[in-house]
Amino acid sequence: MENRLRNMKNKRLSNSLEFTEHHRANIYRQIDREREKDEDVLLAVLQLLSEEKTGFVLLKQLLRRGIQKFEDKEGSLYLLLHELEKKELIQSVWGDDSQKYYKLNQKGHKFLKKTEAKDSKASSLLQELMRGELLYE
Amino acid sequence: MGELAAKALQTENIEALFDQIMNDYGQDILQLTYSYVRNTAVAEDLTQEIFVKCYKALPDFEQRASVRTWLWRIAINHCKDHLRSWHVRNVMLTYEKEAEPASSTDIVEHEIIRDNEDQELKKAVLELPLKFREPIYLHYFEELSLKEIEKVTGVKVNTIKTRMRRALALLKERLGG
Repeated sequence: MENRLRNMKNKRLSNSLEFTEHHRANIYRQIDREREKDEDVLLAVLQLLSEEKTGFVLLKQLLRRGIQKFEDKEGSLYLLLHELEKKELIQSVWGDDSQKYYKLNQKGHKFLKKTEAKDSKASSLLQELMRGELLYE
Repeated sequence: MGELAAKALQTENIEALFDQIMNDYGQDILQLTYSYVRNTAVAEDLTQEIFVKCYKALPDFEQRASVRTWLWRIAINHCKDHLRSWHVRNVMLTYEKEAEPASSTDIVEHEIIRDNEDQELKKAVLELPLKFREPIYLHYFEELSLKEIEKVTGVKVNTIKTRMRRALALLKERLGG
């Protein structure tokens, strides 16, 4: 039996499977679709942070906009906020209620304007940000 | 591949590396996935999902690691998640029986016999329970060592050995010899 199995090397279990251009195209289409969705999410986060608010309020407002990405996954929203802070697009302060408040800073405002204007440089930073964040899903 | 992976993974490199990975491993992943789900349409869907996952995870890829091991781990986890999902457990009870694979028309007789024996063996492998099928497929069809199987499946080498022994016994029982 072992000899028979040894003859199987590099053989296919199914002969009706072929990885084709069609599959590749589908994969790229799916990646593009998700990227667009991610860009919309990030854009919404930046827009909502034009006004100072807590992560909790931000989450609720995102949900109201129909963005469910962070529903039951608040952790990944905070990771994204952390990333945005690292990239110096937003700043955070502790309020008297010992809650953290987030807000766009000057660089963030500029970035938001560029993003809304579909600036390609902004879009690649956007992708980079979303990529980093997606890993934690 | 090693060359490519050794470079820093900047955005343009990611695109190139990803395309290379699909080129090199698309067919393998399709076959690997099939060994888990035993259904052509599902294998195709899962393969596409696996590559989307791979693309997203590439910036996080440890450049010292082997692309193959890393990708196999993603794929195997994805297949197992699929098999564990509610939908599969409750809705898809059976797997599709493949139509007999076509054999070329002008092969000589002993090749036909050889071919039939191969088909019989493949069918028996496909009908093994997953925990036995997994190491048999990875070891004999894909030539992974036991250590590599441990790496991609997370199953300990000793457990793999036990399962392989049991799998061989089951196949003998089924096919004789």
